[in-house]
Amino acid sequence: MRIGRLAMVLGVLIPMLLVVAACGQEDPTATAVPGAPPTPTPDADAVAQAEFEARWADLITAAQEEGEVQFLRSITSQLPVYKLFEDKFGIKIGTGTAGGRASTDRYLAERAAGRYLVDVTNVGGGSSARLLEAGVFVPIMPELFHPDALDLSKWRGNEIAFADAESTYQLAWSFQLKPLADVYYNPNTVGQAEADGIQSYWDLVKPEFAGRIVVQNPAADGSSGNRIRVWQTLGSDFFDQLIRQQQANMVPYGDRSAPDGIARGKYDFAVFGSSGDFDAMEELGLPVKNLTRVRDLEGGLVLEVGPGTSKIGLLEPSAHPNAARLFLNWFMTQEAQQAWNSLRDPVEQLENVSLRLDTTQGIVADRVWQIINSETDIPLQLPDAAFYRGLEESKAFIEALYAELGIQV
Amino acid sequence: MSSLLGASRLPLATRLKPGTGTFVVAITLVVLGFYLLYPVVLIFIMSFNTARDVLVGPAIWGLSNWTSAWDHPLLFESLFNSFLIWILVAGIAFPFAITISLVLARTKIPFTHGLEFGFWVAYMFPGLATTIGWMMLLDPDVGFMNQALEFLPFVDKGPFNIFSIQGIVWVKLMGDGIAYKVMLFTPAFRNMDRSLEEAGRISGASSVSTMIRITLPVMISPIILVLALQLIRVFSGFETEWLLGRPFGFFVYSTLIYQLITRDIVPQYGSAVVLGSVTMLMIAVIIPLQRWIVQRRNYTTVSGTFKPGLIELGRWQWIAFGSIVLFLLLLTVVPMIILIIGSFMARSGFFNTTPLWTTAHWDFVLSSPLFLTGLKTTMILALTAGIGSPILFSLLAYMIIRTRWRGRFLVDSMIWISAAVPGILSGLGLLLMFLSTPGLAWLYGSIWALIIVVIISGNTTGTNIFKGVMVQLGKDLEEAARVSGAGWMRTYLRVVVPVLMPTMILIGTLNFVSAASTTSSIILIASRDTITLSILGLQWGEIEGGQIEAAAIVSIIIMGLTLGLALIARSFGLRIGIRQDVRAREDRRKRADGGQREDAPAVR
Repeated sequence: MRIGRLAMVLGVLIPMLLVVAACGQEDPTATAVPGAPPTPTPDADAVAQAEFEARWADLITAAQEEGEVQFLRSITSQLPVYKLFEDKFGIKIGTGTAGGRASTDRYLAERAAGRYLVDVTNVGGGSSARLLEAGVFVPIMPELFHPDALDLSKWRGNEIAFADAESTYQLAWSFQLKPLADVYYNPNTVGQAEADGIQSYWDLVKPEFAGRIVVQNPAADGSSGNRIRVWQTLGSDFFDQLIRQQQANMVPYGDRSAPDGIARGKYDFAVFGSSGDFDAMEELGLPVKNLTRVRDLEGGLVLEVGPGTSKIGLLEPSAHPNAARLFLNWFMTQEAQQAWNSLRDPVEQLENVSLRLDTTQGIVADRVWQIINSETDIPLQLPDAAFYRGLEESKAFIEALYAELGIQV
Repeated sequence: MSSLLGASRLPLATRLKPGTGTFVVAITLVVLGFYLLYPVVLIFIMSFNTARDVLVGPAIWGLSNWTSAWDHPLLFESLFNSFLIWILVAGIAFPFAITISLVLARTKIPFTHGLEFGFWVAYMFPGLATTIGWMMLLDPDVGFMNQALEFLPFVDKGPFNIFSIQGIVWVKLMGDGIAYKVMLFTPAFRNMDRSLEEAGRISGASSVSTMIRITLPVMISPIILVLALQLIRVFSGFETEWLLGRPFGFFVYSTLIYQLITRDIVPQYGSAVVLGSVTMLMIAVIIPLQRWIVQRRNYTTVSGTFKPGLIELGRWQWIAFGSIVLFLLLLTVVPMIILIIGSFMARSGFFNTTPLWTTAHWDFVLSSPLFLTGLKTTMILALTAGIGSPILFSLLAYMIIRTRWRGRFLVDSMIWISAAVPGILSGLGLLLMFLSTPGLAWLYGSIWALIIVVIISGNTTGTNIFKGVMVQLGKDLEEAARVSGAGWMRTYLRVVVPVLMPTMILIGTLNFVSAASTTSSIILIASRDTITLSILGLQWGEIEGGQIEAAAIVSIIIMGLTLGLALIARSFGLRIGIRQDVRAREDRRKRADGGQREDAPAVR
């Protein structure tokens, strides 16, 4: 009788269990029973993209209402790139009328009077240092939100480069292949064998070259890039020997007497020159040659990140904050960086190349393009704390040398 | 009645009641003083801010700028060099300029007005363009003149070296050193009453003796004024000294101040202002000196008995004419040719480039998106200054010289003090003024700020030149008009202005050129929408690769504009000014007819 009861219980339980299991499975042949639709699982990428597009559209609208963005100084060679922005967004770009120093004077005076008329800085190392000291910048990374700009895989070294010692306030978007200092010579007065014999910068301080070299003042603000490269690589001894021992002919930075003097045979060599002027003379068929363009001197190449005025920072307070942020985000995208490689006035140096990996050559010089896209052990020179410290130390050293030797330049 | 009673017995209220004149002087002091002195005061206050960057707060007040500035190792050497240049330039330029002005204004050489205009043209050349032109000619290694001389068998190396003290003096003489003085002296000499000279000749003096003992003493007022103005110009100008002096280590005071501002990352404005105060010391000497000279005697030459007339030179007139023409060619044609040639050269100064000639520089300038904006702004500023400045300065000079209003010498002192700040510092003072003054802040960035600046600029030179002419005007001219019933305005317009007209045209032209060429005073307050051609030229000159050719083209365009307008203005102005040559032609006609010479002056 016990077996009978067990069988009866099992006979009830097992079918019940089977029914429960069957209810938990879909019956592919069963007809759909109408009711509430299923809830879809959200796609994170799509959400982020939608958020960006909404934020981007809002920024464009706000920027267009502001109507303009004001840069600190005028850089005529960069105007074609600015025009691209103006045409794309219908926002006018205003620039200053003076160089970096005077424009910085003007901006700081306006700021002291409570007038905030400038939105974006585009100045070189000296003026940047002055503005950083005055505390006028906003931390820049929170302002950058464009996915294309933030995609680190698109940037060399998988990082966005900064142009200030604290890596907080200014971005660098380009780098420049530079010798420590350009060396120019007159091929009519310097024999080929003599030119070929110069294999390193230290060869220039040999006795046979004494009195034959002209130097554009390396302590000048405009020469800071040359100066820091040499300072960090060759040290103070090189400056001392060049200026003191070699009795170099010192002229102001950018002074035409240096390239003119080379072309006319007054000087045989020029070091620390503003290369654009010398290059222009070479292009005109004058007897001026760039030694460091045809041959790399020993240990004498660097990739300078954020050279010259290739630094961007946002000011606070500003008159057009939305337009400034729009420009920043657009400028760090592939579109703008390609324009940087392609649209600048050719007067600009052709060695200044966007740090983005997804740009094409444009007007960049072939040799430079080849080198930066090959495996290279050329050191990167970053505008970090050591860089800015070196700028000050090198300037002080050279000016002390001038004072000791009674040199006025 | 008051004269019978004597002033001391008048009621106090009457004695102290301010007249219209005092009111006018007070308004002038307040309005003009604000624009002229407030920037100077702001700069002066800045010199006591010893913070590392005076433009970034908070200010740190102290005297360290004043104590350390005088320790500059080159201070006394540069001061000495500045005075050396001034003495050399003035010592050579003054005799030449006075001689040329006397010949142009007081003798019967042909085309005298055309020759005088030639000196205006010489003055219009930008100093930088003149300097570069002479560098290309007299460079010791590759100057054209030296290279040409080296073709001679007995010349090993060209004898000229522009990079020397002699070179600096030469360029300053060829620039504005002599032309400037001829421009300013000639109108004053034209106002010389011939009867004074005739009295000398009748007494037995020769022409030369008459000129030295009668003409020049009467003209001492404008001569001293020009001497003082030249001294101030030496301390404020620096382009020529910078380009030519630096290669051989020769520094003057203005280049020292320029170094303080541009050498370091943070400009040393405090120290620069301290050193600039030396000009203030000079002015403190100049003001009482020139006032003493003006007041010590009567310099009237134009009165109711004014007798214009020209001196016959006889056979010497063609020698004088030829000499002046040759000199003008040296001042005008030579640098003009160099400038134009240079603008079409691929690299100015080099004849071995490929290509040699190019229009690329002209294309660059004329196709610049900012060129038309710059041209428009330049024309507005220059025309406004050319018309407004002479009117303003002549009224100021009239107030100082021709009235007895209380406080007028404060106006005179204020005008001199405004010249105390070198141009490279005045721009900063003006920037601070527009930013810090609530009522002017709305002007900042607009063209109106620039218009105010250019009209008032040059007030020291302009007002003092008018003063030099005003002292020559006899009071009887105005008294006759007033007695005839003319009010002050009518008297001024119908009697004073015709006498002043050549000077008004002169000052208008000077200010036109100045407004068209100025950079330092407006570069900090101009915006991209109010940029001028001269600022554009400065920008192009700073570009790496040195677009100096583009900067030279800007100079050519400015000179072209100035020449055209100056021709029109002169032609208009000479019709209503004193015409010695008209008188001379009348004399010749009457002698030819055998008639008697009339004594009525040729003033219309």
